Amino acid sequence: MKTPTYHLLWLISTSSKELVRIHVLSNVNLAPLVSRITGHEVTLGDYGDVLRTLTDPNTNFVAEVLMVLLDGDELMDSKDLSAEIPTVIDSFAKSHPEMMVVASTICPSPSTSSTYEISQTKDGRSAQGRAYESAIVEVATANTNVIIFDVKLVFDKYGREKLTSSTFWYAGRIPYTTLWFEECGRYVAGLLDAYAGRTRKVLVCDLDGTLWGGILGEDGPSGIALGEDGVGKCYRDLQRQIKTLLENGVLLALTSKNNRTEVDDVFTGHPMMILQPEDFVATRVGWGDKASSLVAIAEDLSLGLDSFVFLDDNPVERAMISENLPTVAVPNFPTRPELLLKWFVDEVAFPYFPRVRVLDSDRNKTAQYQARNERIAEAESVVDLDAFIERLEIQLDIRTDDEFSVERAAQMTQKTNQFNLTTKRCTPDQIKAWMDSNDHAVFTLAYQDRFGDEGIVGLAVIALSTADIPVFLLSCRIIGRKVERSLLRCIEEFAVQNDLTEIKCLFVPTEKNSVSAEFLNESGWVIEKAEVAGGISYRKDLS
Amino acid sequence: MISDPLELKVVAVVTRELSVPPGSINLLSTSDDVDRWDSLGHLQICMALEAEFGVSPGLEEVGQINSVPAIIEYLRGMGI
Repeated sequence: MKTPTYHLLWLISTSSKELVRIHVLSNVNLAPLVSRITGHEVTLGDYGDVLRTLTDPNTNFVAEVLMVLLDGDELMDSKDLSAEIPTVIDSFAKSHPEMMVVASTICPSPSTSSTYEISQTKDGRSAQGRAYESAIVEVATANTNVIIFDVKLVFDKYGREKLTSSTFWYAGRIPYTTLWFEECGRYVAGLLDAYAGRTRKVLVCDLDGTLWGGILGEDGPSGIALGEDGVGKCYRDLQRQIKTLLENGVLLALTSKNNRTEVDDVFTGHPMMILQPEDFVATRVGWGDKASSLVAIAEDLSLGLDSFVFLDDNPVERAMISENLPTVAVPNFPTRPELLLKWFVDEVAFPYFPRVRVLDSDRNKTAQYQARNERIAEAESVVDLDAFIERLEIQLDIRTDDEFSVERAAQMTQKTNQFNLTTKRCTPDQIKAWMDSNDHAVFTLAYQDRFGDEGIVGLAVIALSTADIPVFLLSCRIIGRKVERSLLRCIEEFAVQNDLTEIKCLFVPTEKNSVSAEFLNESGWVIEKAEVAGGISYRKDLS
Repeated sequence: MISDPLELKVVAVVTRELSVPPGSINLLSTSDDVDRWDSLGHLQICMALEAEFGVSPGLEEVGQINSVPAIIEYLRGMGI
């Protein structure tokens, strides 16, 4: 999940913070756990020494955290111990108020005999286990320095079969498999990170394909997937989880390549949005690169980039951040929406935003930061965009009058609103007629880079007799990668081969296509007439 | 130089599980001549075989595969 570069920098960035020393007590052999609680100092008591360590006033281990991680089956075999442990933990916590005590729940196997009734009775293991658990929870409720590590989370996730091993139990009193040690190690390390304050503070979210399904610029506010059924529910559930993080004190920020007004329309008008504009401490909606947006947000909030986690479904945007801002955490993004919820909990919330407890002071974090001044949306670029684009290894396949692309070409004219000079909508028949005509040429552009194949994402049409370009558009999925320049260059070469000395186009401004005007201004076009039928006419000299 | 991929991997797993410097485990190493290859170290090696090679040595095999050659022979016997 993490690139080596990122991991290294993360370690450097948190090295100034204290390591947490943890002492682990258990009734079984947990030696393999020591190396798996990474980033902290772990010591292990002799197994079977739990009671003595907790009750002996001369106990001498040096640690900020004491963890009592017990095996359920072993504990259930010793009824006295299971009754005594909660009381003993309670006394220990009271006499060591400076120490955090982590008590695990237990997960005993349901039954060890062949009768069906035993686990149901009050003497059965399940009942015993429940009694132990409620006693432990009571202790945690009564002592602010006691917290629960719910080992059932791990058992629920993988199942007992994969987590327990008879071989190593009989060979050396190790009841668990490597998987158990890895998972528990990860949870405990996360808990200690949280204890040490090693948590990230800001979650930066993209919109299209991340907080909702689909592309706002193409599908429109009513066409995006967000709701209480099917794919839309996947995104709504994700928004709910993000809202929970917000309530736990995590700051949210938005970066999206979209038009601001359309995004505002969704926030104010879409009935299924869980997240609201006031939930975000910073919003950067525009067409600039996201690395620069993140830097601007970090400056606004006076937070280091190593406090940031970046969520984006687009692998190119993720590479943009991880290559240019290596201290920002950039988790992978699931390709199937139904995995979003589980992924977010397992791969984002727990690893990056662990909290030991949520305090009241966490809850109004967003309000504190919102009081700061908002800056303008477009940040000055802080990255070498050209170098990044070069590393994408973009391959374009630009074809002229390709009959296999008629349907897709027509579809793009119907859906593309942002990078589209005229937003002229065409039918397949119209496209086909242009392809067949000697006077017109239709250019389709297919795009792929090292992250994948986007298919046909660009379209341009030229009429030789008038030197006019009635269609020039690019899907918003690839805006910002300078692909439009290659498409324009092809048209220019084609025009020159056909003895044209200039090309012309009409720009029809809409609420959404200002990004196309920027392109015209940057690529050598000049305004011929500022007011002609419904738009602005441009010309470009080719001589 | 070890060139066989299985042999290389076994040496790497043993080195890692015992936390000994690279190069201190070779194709002839046994639990008798490596200090850190004690009973706990041995269990960690056997547990790692499960994760690395997908094999689960039984209790009796755990007692027998206490050298690099024995581990390699065991793995080959399992068709790896």
